[in-house]
Amino acid sequence: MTEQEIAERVKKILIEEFELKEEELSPEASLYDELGLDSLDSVDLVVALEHEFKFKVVRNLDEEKIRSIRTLSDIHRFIIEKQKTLPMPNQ
Amino acid sequence: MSLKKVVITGMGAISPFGIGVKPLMEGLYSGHSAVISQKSEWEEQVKDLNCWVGAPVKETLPSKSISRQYRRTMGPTAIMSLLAANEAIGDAGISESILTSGRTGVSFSSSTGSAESLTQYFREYFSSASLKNISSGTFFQVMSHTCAANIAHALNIKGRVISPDAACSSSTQAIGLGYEAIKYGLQDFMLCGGSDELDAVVCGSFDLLNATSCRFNDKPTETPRPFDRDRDGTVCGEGAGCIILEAEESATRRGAHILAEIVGFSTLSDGTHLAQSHSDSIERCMEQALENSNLTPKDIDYINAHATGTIQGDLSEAGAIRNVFGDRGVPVSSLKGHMGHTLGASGALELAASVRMLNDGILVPTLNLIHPGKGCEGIDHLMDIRRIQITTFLKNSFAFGGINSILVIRRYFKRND
Amino acid sequence: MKVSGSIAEGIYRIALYSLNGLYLSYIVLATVSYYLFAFPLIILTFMVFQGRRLDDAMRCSNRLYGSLLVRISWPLIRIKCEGRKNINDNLPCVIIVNHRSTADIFLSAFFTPGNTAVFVRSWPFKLWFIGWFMRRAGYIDVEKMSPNTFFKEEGRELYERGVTFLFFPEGHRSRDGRLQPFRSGAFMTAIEFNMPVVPVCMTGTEKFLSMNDPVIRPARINIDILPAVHPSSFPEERRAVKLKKHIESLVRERLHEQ
Repeated sequence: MTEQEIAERVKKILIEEFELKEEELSPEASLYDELGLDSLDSVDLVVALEHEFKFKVVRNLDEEKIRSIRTLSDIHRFIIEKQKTLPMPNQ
Repeated sequence: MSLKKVVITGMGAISPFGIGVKPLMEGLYSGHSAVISQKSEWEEQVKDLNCWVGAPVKETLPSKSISRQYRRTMGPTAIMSLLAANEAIGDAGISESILTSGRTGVSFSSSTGSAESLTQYFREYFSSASLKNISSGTFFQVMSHTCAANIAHALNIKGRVISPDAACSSSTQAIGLGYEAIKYGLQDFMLCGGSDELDAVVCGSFDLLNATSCRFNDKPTETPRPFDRDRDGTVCGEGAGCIILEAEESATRRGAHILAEIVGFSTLSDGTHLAQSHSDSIERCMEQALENSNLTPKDIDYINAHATGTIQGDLSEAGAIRNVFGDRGVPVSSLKGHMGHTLGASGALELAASVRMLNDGILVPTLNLIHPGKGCEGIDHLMDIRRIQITTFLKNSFAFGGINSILVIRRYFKRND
Repeated sequence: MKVSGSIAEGIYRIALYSLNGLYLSYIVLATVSYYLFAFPLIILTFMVFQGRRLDDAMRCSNRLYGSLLVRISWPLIRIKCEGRKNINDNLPCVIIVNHRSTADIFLSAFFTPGNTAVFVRSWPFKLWFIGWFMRRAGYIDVEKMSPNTFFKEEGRELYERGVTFLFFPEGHRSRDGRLQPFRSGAFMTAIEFNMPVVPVCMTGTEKFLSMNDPVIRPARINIDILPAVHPSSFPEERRAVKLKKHIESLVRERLHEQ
């Protein structure tokens, strides 16, 4: 998956599930300050990303990284990293 | 400490007749029924219902008018509450600074929080044995105080927030407690009311207790039939009603229009039966309500009955009314014949309609009441529209759990204009 | 015998006229004091502090003035009043009183609620001071009352302000102490606004100030306030007439017993 594709799919989630406007979604836009997401949203965002990109967020390993996500490009980077590691473990 | 007078300065409604108080009154005054067949909607969910009729809100809710930030923690029940609250706030002309002042509170409740959200929550949980895919807002949608909490959150209300969930008595108790908060000077404004969704699961719960109407599935508009000899149970409806209560001095100071005055409230328990209240506990509640307002049965001009169309419930209420008001011949009607039993919203919606009837000089009859049933006679049943001035009326609500609550409302006499 | 009889009568007359003269001065003094001191205070309290309208304030003031006059006239006027609890001050009603004396309007102030509008014929409105105070208080001249506009306008306004209506349904003072047939106005009003009717029997007023002799005599006044009768206890057809007849018989019966 290219970074372009990732960016498109992330945008789709933000527009559909979080009802944000496309014109606001620049890569450097701050999620919490500019786009108005909050702590509850970040929980839902993780679930949505897991669904879309078929990975699992592991609490101990990924918590730091999740907490440092501030912008869209941070999200993209996180996803790319996750896709490089092993695929989703079986349930 | 002197007791404050409490008046109603705003009302909002979402009812089976549509969105707003206007369609509600249009529907009631025109004598239409909002009950329709729900077979196609419910067949999938609960296969073996006996009652296939219901009274859903006619129009689609403008949920998107609530910003996502607030909406994500709201199921349909809370959404309807907030929409009704917004209409009431507009009606009362209350500013944002009043809402956030700390002198404004919320007293709002429902039977179950949100049947739809609850169903989704458990469907996910049971199918995956995990809560991971459930959205973060879902708990707030299903918690029992979802209406009160969400209204307070969306409007930045910092005053007293209470949620007296009591099934069919929910909004009457909510309004009563709001009345007491203002009466004792603890708050100046209270947004009060109740809300409930129509859901196959809710109807199914009543169905289980043989409380629903099953013989009119092909003629939905002929049920429920409060007090009628052919009644066979209730019909579930949905909606939300919001009544804004205010201290009289505050209302006159800011020149608000005053719709009516609340002069008394009583709520007590039957104590003997969990499913419904018996005649003597209803009598006690009426007597207490009169005592609380310093009135006698002679002073009441109209009773807006609870009467849901169940065989036993209507009988108990009729008997109690006869015993307390027998000599007086007070006109009685139940609005559930028109719009079904809106459960948590019924107290507030029916109160709003009754306040409008008070001010319009028109009393709406009980729809589908053709022949009062055995044991329900001896009462001045309204069977046609009656144009008459009333000064004081009672709003009755009797709920599952044997919770009785009654409000006493009086016309507000003009003072300063 | 005849000479001593007429001397006794002469002394009686002189005493009576002196009493009247004294009483009149006393009342004038009381009235002046009331309107100098109490009246401005009352109007101020009502209109400025409570934001009430002038006519509500005047009605309450008139009622207070009448009530005070009656009370300070003891022992010239000795009142026995029963059944006051049959009037609920918080719920407006139509009060009807039998009519035997000019003084009835003042005497009724003893038991009526504060915000009461009096319905009388034209002649009191023509009296100098009294008429002015009556007009400011929105009292209604039944001779000028137009059924077409009254219920929709003046009557409606009074009803919405929670005002109690006071009527003397006989229309004229009774000459022989017997109850005269009632006029319908009070009862049509009660039905229009769905208000209870409270019948009041007042006796002794004809002794206080009789029709024949414009002289005030000491009198015991009995006020009997009967339980309210609600229009809805009568069937809809010819309700006004049935209500009127029923109340007429209640009052006649009670007066008979006295």
